[in-house]
Amino acid sequence: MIEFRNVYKTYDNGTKALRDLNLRVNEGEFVFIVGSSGAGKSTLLKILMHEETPNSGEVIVNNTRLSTLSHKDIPYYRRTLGMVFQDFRLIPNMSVFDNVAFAMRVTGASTKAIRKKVPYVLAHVGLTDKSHCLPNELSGGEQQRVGLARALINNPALIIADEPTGNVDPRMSFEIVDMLNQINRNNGTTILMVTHEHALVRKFRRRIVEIQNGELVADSGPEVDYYV
Amino acid sequence: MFNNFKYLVREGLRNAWSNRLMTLASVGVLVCCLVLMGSAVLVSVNISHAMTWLKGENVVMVFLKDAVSGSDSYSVDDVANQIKSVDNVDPNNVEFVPKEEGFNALMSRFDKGLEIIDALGDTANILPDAFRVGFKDQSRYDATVEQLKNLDVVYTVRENREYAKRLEGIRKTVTVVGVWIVGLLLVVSLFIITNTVKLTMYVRKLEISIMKSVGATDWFIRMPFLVEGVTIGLAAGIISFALVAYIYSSAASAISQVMSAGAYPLSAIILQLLLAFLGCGIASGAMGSLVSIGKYLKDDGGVSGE
Ligand SMILES: Nc1ncnc2c1ncn2[C@@H]1O[C@H](COP(=O)(O)OP(=O)(O)OP(=O)(O)O)[C@@H](O)[C@H]1O
Ligand SMILES: [Mg+2]
Repeated sequence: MIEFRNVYKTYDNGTKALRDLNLRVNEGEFVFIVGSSGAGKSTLLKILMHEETPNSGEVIVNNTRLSTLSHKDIPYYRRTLGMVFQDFRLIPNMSVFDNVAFAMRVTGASTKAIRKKVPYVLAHVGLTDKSHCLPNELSGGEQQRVGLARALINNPALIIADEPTGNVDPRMSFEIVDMLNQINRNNGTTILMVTHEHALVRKFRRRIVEIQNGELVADSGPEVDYYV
Repeated sequence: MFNNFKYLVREGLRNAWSNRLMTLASVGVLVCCLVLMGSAVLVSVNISHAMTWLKGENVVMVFLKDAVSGSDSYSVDDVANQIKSVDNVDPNNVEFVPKEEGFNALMSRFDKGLEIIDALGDTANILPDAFRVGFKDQSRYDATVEQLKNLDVVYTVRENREYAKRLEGIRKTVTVVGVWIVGLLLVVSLFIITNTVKLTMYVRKLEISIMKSVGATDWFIRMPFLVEGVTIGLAAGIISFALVAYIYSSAASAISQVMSAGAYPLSAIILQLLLAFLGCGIASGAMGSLVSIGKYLKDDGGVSGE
């Protein structure tokens, strides 16, 4: 599903964010990416989103070498991903419904399809009765569930979440990771989640990859204790 | 896809409205530009019109020598036949103008001075008899005039060419000055439109980065900005068309009082004028927005908004 081969990333200002990173994630895995601040975790995700490109090495997602994508291919590639951000990234003057619908509209979906699918996904994240609210009328946890609904709406095979619980209180954090966990278990969606919260990592017991100074320093490996 | 189109147009109009001050400023500047541009074109058209009118008059005045004109015994028909036999003279367009008529025509050109000339009385028959002569082929104008001058009975040939030359000079100047003014204003209005759209873009930075993150194509992101620019251009086009049409119709009646050629009739060009205004307005609006968003889209980053 995902493969990083000898990936180096140095930013224009000379910061070496990734050094010779090798990582393989199989379809259907749930991976926590941990590491101290500035370790290169977000850089890794940005390379997956094709927001940044590596200086050398190869990244392969779903049999696509990202280095072969042209500018025109990138939107279509991104539609196969779901992205969740720490700061939610909701459009403030759009309702919950419209925020989610937006991601569908971008792909050229018809209004009919949007009307059918959005309520379904909102129900899935437990926000049916908040459908007409504006983002600032919601709690952090609720806002992040809108973000999650938006990431899910186009049925991505891969969800990338950068500290999705960073701005959410602990109880809500658990709920959000639990939702991701369910999505992974039920749909087989591959999930990469960056987090600083060790409590969550311990509780869910999924694969853990640790990055320090741009290098992969620890990997719990495939999920041996799945059903513990 | 039609759904999307409707949605994107609505978004563009919403942008224009939420930035209405800048939108208004852009429309204003673009109107100034278009009005000046339209005026320059119309002045140019009118000078061309006057020129073709002069040429369409198509006639030269052939004045006879006093010796001929003064003698009672000469035959108008003989002289007419002489003139008609000149190569390229249109035989159906040779008309005798007796000296009295020529004099009256001359008189009518002066208005107030009439009394003075009246005072000259009969002795005022200063003009010789003349013929108004038309040509078949305008391209051989010079040669034909030369041939007419060479006739024994002819004193001189009065041409309209001097006016035509002078008008041509004015037209060239108007065109050159017009092109410069228009070019300059176009740059200014593009600059203003570009900034209006950039302002919207800044306001909608988050929205654009989210669009990118969910896989919007460049055209999807561009459309609302394009609609905004085109709306500005369209509004400016309509307003300046109305302004210029109004000014022109007032000016036209003034022109027809001083120039017998009259102004070029507005009704004959009103459609072209409207289309030109709309076209220029829309084109500059579209260009302004495409330029301002182009650079932003080239970059594949900006997804997570840092
Ligand atoms: N756009 C950029 N330009 C220059 N340097 C950058 C850029 N983005 C990140 N960096 C640097 O690259 C290194 C890795 O950054 P990255 O954001 O990947 O860290 P992180 O592991 O996500 O940290 P955190 O846990 O604080 O989010 C850091 O030293 C950071 O300062
Ligand atoms: Mg980070």
